[in-house]
Amino acid sequence: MSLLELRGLSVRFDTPAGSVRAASDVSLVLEEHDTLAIVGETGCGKSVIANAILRLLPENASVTGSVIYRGMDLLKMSEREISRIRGREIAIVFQNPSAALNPVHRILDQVSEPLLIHLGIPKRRAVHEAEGLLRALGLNGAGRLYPFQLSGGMNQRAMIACSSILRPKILMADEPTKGLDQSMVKNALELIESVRSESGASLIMITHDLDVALSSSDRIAVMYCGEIVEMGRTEDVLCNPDHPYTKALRESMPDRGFRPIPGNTPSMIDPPEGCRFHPRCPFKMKICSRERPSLNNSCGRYVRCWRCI
Amino acid sequence: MYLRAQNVSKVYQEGLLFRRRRCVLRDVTVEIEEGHTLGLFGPSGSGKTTLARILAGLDHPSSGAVIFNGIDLREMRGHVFTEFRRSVQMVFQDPESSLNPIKTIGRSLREVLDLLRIPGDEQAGIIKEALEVVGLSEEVLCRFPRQLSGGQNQRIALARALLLNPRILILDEPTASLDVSVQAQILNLLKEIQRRRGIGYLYISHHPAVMRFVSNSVCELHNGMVTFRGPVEKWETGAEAGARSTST
Amino acid sequence: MSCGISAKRSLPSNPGALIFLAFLLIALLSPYLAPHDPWKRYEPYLGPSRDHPLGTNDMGNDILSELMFGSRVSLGVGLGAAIIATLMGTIIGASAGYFRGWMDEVLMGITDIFLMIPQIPLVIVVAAFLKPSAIMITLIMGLLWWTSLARIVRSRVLQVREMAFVEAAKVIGFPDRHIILTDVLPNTIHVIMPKFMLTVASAMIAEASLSFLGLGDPNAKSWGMMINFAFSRGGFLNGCWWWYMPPGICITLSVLSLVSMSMLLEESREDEHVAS
Repeated sequence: MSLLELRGLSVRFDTPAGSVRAASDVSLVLEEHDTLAIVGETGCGKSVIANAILRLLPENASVTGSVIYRGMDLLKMSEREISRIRGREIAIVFQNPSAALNPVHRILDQVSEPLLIHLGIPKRRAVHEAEGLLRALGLNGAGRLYPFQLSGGMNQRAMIACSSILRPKILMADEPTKGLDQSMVKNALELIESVRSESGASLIMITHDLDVALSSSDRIAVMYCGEIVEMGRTEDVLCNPDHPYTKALRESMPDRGFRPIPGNTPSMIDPPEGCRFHPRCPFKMKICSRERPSLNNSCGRYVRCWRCI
Repeated sequence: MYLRAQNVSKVYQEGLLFRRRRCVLRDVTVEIEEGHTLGLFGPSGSGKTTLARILAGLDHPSSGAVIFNGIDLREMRGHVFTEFRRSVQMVFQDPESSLNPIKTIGRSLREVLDLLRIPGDEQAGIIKEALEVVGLSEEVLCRFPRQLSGGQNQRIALARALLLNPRILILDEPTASLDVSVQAQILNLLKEIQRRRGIGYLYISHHPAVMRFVSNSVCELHNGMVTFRGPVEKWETGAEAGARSTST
Repeated sequence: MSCGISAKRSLPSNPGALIFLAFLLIALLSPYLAPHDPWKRYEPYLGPSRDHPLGTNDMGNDILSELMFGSRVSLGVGLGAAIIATLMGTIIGASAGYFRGWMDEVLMGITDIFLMIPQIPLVIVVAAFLKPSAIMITLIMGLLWWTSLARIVRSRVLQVREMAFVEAAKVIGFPDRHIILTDVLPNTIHVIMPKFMLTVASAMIAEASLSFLGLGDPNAKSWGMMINFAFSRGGFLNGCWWWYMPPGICITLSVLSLVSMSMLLEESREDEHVAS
């Protein structure tokens, strides 16, 4: 049995402008000790998936499909049951550490708080444990300080400490490198990797940066317009992409000379008929604008394209 | 035409009781010429944005001068200052916040034409042309900034600056908050516009690859001091050796 | 627009807004709605009856008609004072926050001086020395109550002026007046409006208090004045509840409706923040 399995997960937001199909028919499997990157551009639905797994979406979202964690469907759980999963079994590292930490509490209190609440450990032992973790993450002595007294990178470490102190089985990182300087990106990734391998957790890395995906994951799922268009081993997918969108995305990277993808990202309220990438696709065929391709599997490589059948 | 920062320094005073002086820029001299791109490279906190704001006339240097076509910015009055104001434009990092959230795109563009005293019946044509240059259709005119994507907003901000027909354009990390594919679109668009109109760019970035792609010459800042100045071919940065590159 | 849309959607369904609208309509249409002339004398101390739904007072004036005409004075003083205070506060706060420098120092210095003035006592003294009239009271309160708004507007403007779109407008070369009117103030309106509502409410309460103390305009029958008369001419002693209860209820209701509208405006702004 796999650790986490998404089966046909779809998320729709009802807004005054119409219903936004933020994710449609997303299916993927995460094994133990697995590292999976979900990449895609702004608004492709990658963060929505992370929030849907932990049921952290706003009220106007309607979620269908199923999220199976160790044989239990997280979407059918009561609020009480899911709150036991959050943080303890599946934890999330948020994007902006300076905003995700509470500015009026000391770092140490925030890191030890999950222990007090989830496990009911006495305060002194919890603080002791939190201190140990902070020391391991290179934040020796920062526990008595407040978030605004630390740099962005140190807040990032504290944030990772908060998420990993309960030794969750799955660690989800939502754009942990966004807005960081180049040198700090590397540090943050190394830190996440060390925490992950030390606790033996699985990782879901959500990012828009293909470099980050390459250095932090074994498997990758490329999303476009709410759908997974290509999924497989990270190196295979990024170095030898099959789907036209993945190819185009690689071409627009700095080392390939910034060749842009023509056209704009389509609206999620009214996505194109057939294959969602066909209006911007250089290899378009007749069938592409009529019928939606399915995610086809060949030797562990999944591609959603009519040319790859 | 040229825009030059001559021995510019900027000092901030900090603290309530003990006045500490923090030096953001030390004796920086850079010159932007028409038709060329000067890349301004440096890690965050190195004073890049402060220099850009001083060059755009949004901030004043503590010492040194900003010189536009041989005239000191402080000595400009009336007509000459208007000339400077129109010729030197700036595009900001965060496209969403560089447009007023409560004005439609159309209004944001039209008010620039009103400022230039262009009669109402000619405005529609000019706006259509400006949108074509940045690759947008007219349907965006009735939208609000938050209804558009980051890339589209940045194109609007660019179109708005171009309406004034500037000679020098200061670009403060215009693609830092955009996706890679959109970044590629904007960078190519900027090159295309420069080729056609011969505008001089000051391009600020902390990304070496972007720097190499857009600039003719590079100026590298560290802690407010210039550590390298010269053509891009000769430029090599310490950060570059450690920079990640996608192995292929 | 960001504040406007959701506020516009929720205002019509807000009971506070409906009550306040009703009071406004009554004030505007009182000559047509009132059953009698409020100055005309009928039999005094009459209890509620069909002819006089809320009875009459010691002079024989019809209370319901007095109440309707009284809403003109009460709402007029409240709105008038609030409009003057809001205009002054906005202009002073926006100029101080936008231009900074010596302008900020001078304007905020003046604000501090005004903040030191004990306001209600000053109004009492002025009202006692000058001939008290409704317009006079409106003016004095308007000229005294802009200080807190000026501070709120200034701090918000300090935030807005650092936003990229204001800088962009400066680089393009728009005149300061254009930037303040179309870029800065529209993005400040959501802090001004709730405060405006609260100013109306507190001006109405102040007017009622002054009138109750007998320092109001004796020729203008405001709600506060009605309670004052009921108190000084034996309405309370004789148990004429129809005389002093209605104006009290009217003051309470209108103040509550204003406060609830103000809270609604603030909430809709918070929703916008969450949504973005």
